[in-house]
Amino acid sequence: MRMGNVAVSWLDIEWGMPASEAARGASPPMTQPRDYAEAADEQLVAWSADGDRRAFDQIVCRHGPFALRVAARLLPDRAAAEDIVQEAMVRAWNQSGRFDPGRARFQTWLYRIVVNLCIDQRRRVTPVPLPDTFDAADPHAAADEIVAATERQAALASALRALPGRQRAAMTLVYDEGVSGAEAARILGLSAKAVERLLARARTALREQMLADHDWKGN
Amino acid sequence: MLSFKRFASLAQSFGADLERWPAEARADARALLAASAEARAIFAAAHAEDVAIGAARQREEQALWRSDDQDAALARLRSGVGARITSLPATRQRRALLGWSLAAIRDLVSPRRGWLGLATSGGVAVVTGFLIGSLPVATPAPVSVLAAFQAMPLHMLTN
Repeated sequence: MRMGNVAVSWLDIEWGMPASEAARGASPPMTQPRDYAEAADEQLVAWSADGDRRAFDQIVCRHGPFALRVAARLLPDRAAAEDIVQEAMVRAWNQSGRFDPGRARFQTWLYRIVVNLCIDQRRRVTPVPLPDTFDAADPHAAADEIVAATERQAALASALRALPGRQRAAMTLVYDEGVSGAEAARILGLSAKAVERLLARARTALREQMLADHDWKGN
Repeated sequence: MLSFKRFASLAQSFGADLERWPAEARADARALLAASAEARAIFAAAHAEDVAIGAARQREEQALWRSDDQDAALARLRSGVGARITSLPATRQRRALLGWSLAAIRDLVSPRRGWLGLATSGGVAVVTGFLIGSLPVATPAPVSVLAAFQAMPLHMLTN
């Protein structure tokens, strides 16, 4: 019966009633329990567009760790990263009705929101120095080696953090998260060639830093 | 076949880990590495850069996140997102209710149901109105221009 079916899903939307309970309340069962853990992203986002907050929570569980890691690498501190990812998720919730699975994978769509917000945020904030714990020394190595290695790594890490937003985002996606160049291009809204150029420019900048460090050591 | 120039360009972008390279170029890259000492030299230089960059990234990563921190961050994210989407205006709920009532009315006002269906659909419309009205909405500002106009004469009359 159509009306009963619609009414059950409305109850689920309004009070967050578990679908299994909603199904039990009807006779015969009008809806199948929603298996959030097994549902594909596209199904979860369709349920989210209907107001199902538990479906969206599953999306947050599934994609939150990746989004947090990427944001933490692109932004100066963890608090900023968490704020940006939260904002990205709320935007995804608000725009879930507009998501078109025929045009992009949900994962690509969501990560694009996260990365774009991070790049925008980087433009607004000035870089902050790395935390004190960054220079933690290895007690088993010789002191001179520790100092030299730590200085080199610190300089290189600073150069890494100082890369322009898109270059840093491309490196994070491809090098840290193992995303393919083609998928990184879709997330960044660029061509695969453009991503290759971003990566090449980033590595050139880092190589220059390494060479500068070498020259400095040689003098 | 992958040209030497293209090989050098890909090494410059993706480094010495062939898993990062575009899938269609990997087999040709392996063949070129086997055949060309110059290609191997480029690859070795890229590998040295990878090691240095990897060490810097790893140190940075350790300073940024620890595994228990990541779990706590995800818990905070879920809680924060949940609170924010719950507090958003109930437009989706209203839309769902309107969709339900329209579907119900369309179902009831069919030629085969006659006047009984029409009367029932009126009842459905009234009940839906009550339900929509009962949904939480943002309270309007306590003082409006209209209220000010209405209150003035009453206030004057009572004095």
